[in-house]
Amino acid sequence: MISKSLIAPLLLLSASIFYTGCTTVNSAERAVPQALKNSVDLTRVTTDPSLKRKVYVVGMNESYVSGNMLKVQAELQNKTNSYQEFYYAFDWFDVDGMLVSSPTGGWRPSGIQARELKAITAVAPTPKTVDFRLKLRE
Amino acid sequence: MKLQKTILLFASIASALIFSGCASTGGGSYVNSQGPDTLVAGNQITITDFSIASDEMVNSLVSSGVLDRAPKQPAIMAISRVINDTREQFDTDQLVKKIRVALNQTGKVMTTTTVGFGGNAEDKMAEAIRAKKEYLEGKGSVPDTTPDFSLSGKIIQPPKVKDGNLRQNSYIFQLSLTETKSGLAVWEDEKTITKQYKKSSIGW
Repeated sequence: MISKSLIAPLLLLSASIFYTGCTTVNSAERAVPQALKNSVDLTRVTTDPSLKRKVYVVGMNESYVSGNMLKVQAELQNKTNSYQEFYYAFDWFDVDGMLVSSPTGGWRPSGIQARELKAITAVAPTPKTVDFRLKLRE
Repeated sequence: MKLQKTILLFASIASALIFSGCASTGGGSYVNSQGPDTLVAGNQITITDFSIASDEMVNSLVSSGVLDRAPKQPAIMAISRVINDTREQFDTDQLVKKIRVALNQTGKVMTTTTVGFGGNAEDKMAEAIRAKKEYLEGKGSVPDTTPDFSLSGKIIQPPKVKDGNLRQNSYIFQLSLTETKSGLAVWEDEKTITKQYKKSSIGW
């Protein structure tokens, strides 16, 4: 049995949690997009279901810049009602499936607002790069 | 009897501490320099900041397509002055070298080490050998390595922002690629990295 003196603070606490947790992102965009995305079929490996529920990879598309440099873009969505911090990294592979290293590669810190859709992009380190792997972690 | 038990207990604890210390690595451990376990350090610039800035700059420059418009392929780039205008002391090569290596990997740019800011060649020996070959065999004996572009820039640190114990620290990376023939900046970009941290209320 909760004493009457505790009811008011508990109500205040739950209200504050409710309101701070609801700072979500509204957005607007063209109803019929003009861009033609070259979408990539994805294979997902999930080892952290908790992260997948928070920061979800909606899709990925690719294009080429500077003639022959593979550029990929991942669209992420925060499926929660609170801001999420995460790290991401791209691994790049050549036509033989060998890892291509880069001095500027590695894990990048990032954040995504509640319910926000966010794009992250990366350009392959060499023209010989044909494949990639996006990695996410909390 | 009780005293003996107490002594035995303390001896056991002491020996456990000593022996566990034998397996210690001295308190240090390796972390991946490109990994997420490097220290963030909100109040100072870190290798991760240079890595993020250089990665975004290279992506921006390659995506711009200006490198493909150079008369020579791969284009030749000289490194001009990149100024550290922050309140911290560091070598700007932590940024510039990463960019150079990454651009070199793309196959679209080669960096000259015999032309430098203020006439100071990075590799004085290579410059001397080149000059000697040119003197002995004529100008046509050495390839034209006149830079198509020069890279210059600045790293700025705006004043820190305070809100109670919370501090905000930013670094602004600005780079320009100038076409040497026209003197025009054909690509420019700016990346800002902002970090927040809490300052202890105790102490100075």
